[in-house]
Amino acid sequence: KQKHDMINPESTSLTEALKTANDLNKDVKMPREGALDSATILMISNYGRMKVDNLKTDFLKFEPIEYAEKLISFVNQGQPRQSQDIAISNQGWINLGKASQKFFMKSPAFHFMAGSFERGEPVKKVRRAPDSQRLDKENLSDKATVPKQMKSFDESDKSEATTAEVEKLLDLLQKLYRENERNPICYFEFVLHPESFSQTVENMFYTSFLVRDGLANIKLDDEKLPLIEPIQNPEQEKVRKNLPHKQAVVSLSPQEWKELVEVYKITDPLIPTRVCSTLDSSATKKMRMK
Amino acid sequence: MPRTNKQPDNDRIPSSQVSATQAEKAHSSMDRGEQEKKLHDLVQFLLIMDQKKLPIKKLDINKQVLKEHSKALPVMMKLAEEKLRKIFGIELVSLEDKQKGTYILVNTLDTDVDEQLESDPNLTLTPVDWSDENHAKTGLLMVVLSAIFMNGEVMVDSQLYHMLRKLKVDQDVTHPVFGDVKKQLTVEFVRQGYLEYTRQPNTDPPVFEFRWGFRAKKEITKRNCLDFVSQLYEKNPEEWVSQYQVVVEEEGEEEESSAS
Repeated sequence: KQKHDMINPESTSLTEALKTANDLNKDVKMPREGALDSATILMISNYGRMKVDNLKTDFLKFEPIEYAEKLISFVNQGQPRQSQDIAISNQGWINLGKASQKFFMKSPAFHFMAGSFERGEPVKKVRRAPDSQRLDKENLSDKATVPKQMKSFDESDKSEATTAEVEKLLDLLQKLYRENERNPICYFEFVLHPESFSQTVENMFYTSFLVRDGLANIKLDDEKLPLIEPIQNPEQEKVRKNLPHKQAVVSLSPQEWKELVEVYKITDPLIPTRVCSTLDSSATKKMRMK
Repeated sequence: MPRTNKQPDNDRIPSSQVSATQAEKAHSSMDRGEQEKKLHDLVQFLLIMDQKKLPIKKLDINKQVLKEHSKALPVMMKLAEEKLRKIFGIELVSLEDKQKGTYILVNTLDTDVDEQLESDPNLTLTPVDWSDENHAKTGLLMVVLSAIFMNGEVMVDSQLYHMLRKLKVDQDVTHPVFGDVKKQLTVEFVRQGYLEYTRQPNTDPPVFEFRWGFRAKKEITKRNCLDFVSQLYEKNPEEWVSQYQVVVEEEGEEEESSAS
């Protein structure tokens, strides 16, 4: 703000500052002070230059704010008075634009009359990610009904590695279920890995396959916390219950993951750590360092 | 009143990578049918790429249209330029300096429908149709370009934003028509060539300046802006002494180049 005042041709504060600097210069003994003094002079001369630029000799000076005000009244001619918040209405801008178009020598945008050429068939991705498979952690408490089994998709697109992992997971789930006296297992205790966020996410991913294929069921307990249990007779279950399929989305941030691990006091992962690729281990290390 | 554009000189298109004779050889190595087809593809390509008003790159031209005949680019561009001018009334402009190796398209024909209708009400005209979104952006552009010009052809960003805030177009607020205003000004208009956005040296926090971009200089005249503003203030253009002088200079330049 001081700068603006100094550049104003009307003010003399710049000259005053120069005078002060000049007086101080007499007291300069050390080179450092001399350097400061010359820096000050440099700044003052820059400002002086800007001041000269601002000095307009026109009788009629262009003031942007005044221009804006005139624009507003011009555009709003004949229209009902706009509120203070709007100034120029949407239609006002459009009208202003329409009137201005003739000033612009714009080449017209070229569009085919019958539309552009069609895109070809999108190349089918080799591995179709099942992206409908996630539970919404936040919305679970709001849902009146419990998410049930998913409609099964065409299985032929799964990669083998995933299938193997999923089967391993199913075996593990069934084992834990039996050990838990045939009670459903807390979902978070099942999937959370205390050391690795990426392992946790992978666990959730593979778990979602189980649910999708109707091999596991996720439901909420009385406290609205999610539980997971394996389905005993998948084919029979489907036929008997014939339940409507629901989808949900789960999201988990690293922050939330850490909090959950603390809350559930998870020290060892229920799902064994998978042998990591180098990428995974460096990601794990990064997580630990955070 | 819109002006007619000066004649483009024929040596406009630089053939920096390929010499003229190399290009001609490459061009004549194509058989007649192929030459025609490539030329038509090229003209269409230029017209379609122009939709967003972003500069068209030589690289893209070679990749998408000319492909194996990219050496013939200089010859093809000259032919395309002629077609555009004769059939569409569109001028092909090759950009220099920082934008070297790109092109923009500019209109040469009078699009002022009202004026033509005034002189002959019985004319059936098909004026160029722009979308409402385009109209609104043009309105904003007109306001900004005129302000910059009237302010001495450069405006500091804080000044411009201060003025726009008066119009309730605020860079911190998502505008119902323009959305992210700052982005519109500093990204879209700059990419299209309507505005130039440069940083003042030795400023901290950084201060930026707005000027007219290359496209603005080709598409709109300073006289139009001065007339527009003068009308707004209900004053004569001559009363704006320094701005009027710039306009006179601009017109002097025009006369010079059309005379040559």
